[in-house]
Amino acid sequence: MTEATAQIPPGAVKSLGKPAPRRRGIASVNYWWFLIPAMIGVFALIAVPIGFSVYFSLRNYNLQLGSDSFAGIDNYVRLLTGRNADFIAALGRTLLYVVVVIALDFVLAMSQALLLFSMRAGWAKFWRAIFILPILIIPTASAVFWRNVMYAPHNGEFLKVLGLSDVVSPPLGDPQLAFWAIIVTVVWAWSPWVFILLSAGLDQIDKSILEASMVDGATYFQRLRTIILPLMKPVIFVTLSFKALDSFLAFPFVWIMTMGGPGNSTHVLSTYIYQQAFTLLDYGNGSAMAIVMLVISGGLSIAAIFIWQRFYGKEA
Amino acid sequence: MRLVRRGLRNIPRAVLLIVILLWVLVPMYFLVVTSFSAEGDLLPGLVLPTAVTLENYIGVFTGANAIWPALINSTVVTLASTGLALLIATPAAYALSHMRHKKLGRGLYLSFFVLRGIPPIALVMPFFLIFSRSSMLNTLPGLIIALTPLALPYCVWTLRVTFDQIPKEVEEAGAVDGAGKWRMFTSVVLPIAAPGIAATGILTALFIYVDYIIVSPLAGPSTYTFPIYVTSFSQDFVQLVGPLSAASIVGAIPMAIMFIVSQRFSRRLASAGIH
Repeated sequence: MTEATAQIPPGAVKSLGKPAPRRRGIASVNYWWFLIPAMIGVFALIAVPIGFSVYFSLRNYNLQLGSDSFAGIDNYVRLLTGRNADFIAALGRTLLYVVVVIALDFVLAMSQALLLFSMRAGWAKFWRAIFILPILIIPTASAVFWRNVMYAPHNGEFLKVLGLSDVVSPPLGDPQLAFWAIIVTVVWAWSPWVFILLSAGLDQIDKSILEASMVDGATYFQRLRTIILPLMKPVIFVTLSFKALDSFLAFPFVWIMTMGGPGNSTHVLSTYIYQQAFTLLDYGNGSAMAIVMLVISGGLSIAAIFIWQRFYGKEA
Repeated sequence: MRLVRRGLRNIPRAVLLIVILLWVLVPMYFLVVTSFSAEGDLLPGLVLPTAVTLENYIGVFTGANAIWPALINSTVVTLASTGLALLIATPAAYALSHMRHKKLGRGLYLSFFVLRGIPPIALVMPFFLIFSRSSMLNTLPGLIIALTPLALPYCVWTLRVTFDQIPKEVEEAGAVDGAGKWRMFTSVVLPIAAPGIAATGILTALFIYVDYIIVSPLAGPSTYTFPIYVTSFSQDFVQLVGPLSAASIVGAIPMAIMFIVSQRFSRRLASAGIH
């Protein structure tokens, strides 16, 4: 699951609470048998394919050139010494994408959540339904729609609404603008997931604390800074770290809207590797890049876990 | 006077709400209007349409390029992958919930989180090469196999929280009655965990349903799922925007259903997680 997978499991957002009760009585019983199906699944469906990827990454396996020979670590050396400038650029752009997307998602989703927080339940429910409308349009559909209607080369509605259609060139055809145009679409289409999670977290805050501070005459921003945000910190962190990890794997919006163009100016890692493999048929190089990407993604996941444990202690 | 002051205080909030609504709804407005417009009509900005037609929707349901095969493929693939993932993830999540106070159990659990972050591109390439040699490209079983590893770590990760919330007294009572481990799991724990499993299943299905990166290289003309079907409208900038918009809205219906059903559990699940 890629960006299409901005999947943030609700269950993972845990915080602001008592630790779950221990169950000592039955803890001694062995539960290994229950793990076996999942172990087989992980081995057959994840370990074996990744093993194949590692195998191909050590070969010059290029169907376009018809080459298939052992290459040792040549593919990796080429990537890690920066001789493939496009790959390095795609890596940098992916990190920029992650930072910009989570920043914009956070500002938008937090504003939405805070707006609803101060409303009566009925209205909050109504606006919540409106705010999540964009995620009902599946990502590939959103991407094609924005590409062909909002950003259409002639008469794109996006620029017309902003009154810029005579000033700015069609965004997806402009190497300076295309990347940012994609980000606008991504934030429109997928920020509601962040909103759902932040809003659910906000609902857990004990309103009596806030009422007490209102009696004390605290202004809205004082309350936000000293009460709401500190209480929300764990929820915010978990939500955004999930979003960041998933954004690192971003694929469908970039691939559908620009295929990495114009002139490689919008490639992120997934789309660049996809192009190496399925357009240029260079599976050796593609596999090596995929493995490098996997290592980075694994490192980010592990980093996220360590930071979580600082928030929740080891139990989380 | 107090009313006026209260009104003034609400102005920034109202402005913010309006800005957000414009941001969310203006593209939605164009999507809906385009789906009811004749071929190639784009509005001259934010105005009301002059003519309304249903031909795009009729085309989506009856034309040569109708939506049905894609929707059927999507349904089969989504149900099968999600079912398979839940089947093997549920016992594992149960075991990990019991092992969560041991170092090994926690390490295994966290490793599923790391597996969740595996780039799909690293999986789809080998699947493509394997399937092209075993003639499994363009088959539904191939898609189901390749989509399951996306769902599996997510299911384990989310389901453990569900099992964590079952009070230990429930199982202790079962243990007094002499239920074995497997019977305890199937007849005591599973019924209690069912809503949580359903919610996880629906959210997993939602993400499988929209997947593009795995399905796109592995599917062929007879196994296109809905997300691939939609991209078939992307070639022509002018002619196909109407059918595209209609198809997008039709494809949003399963999303909405899954979403509404999951809300029945998942607000609970989300809040249970956040408590």
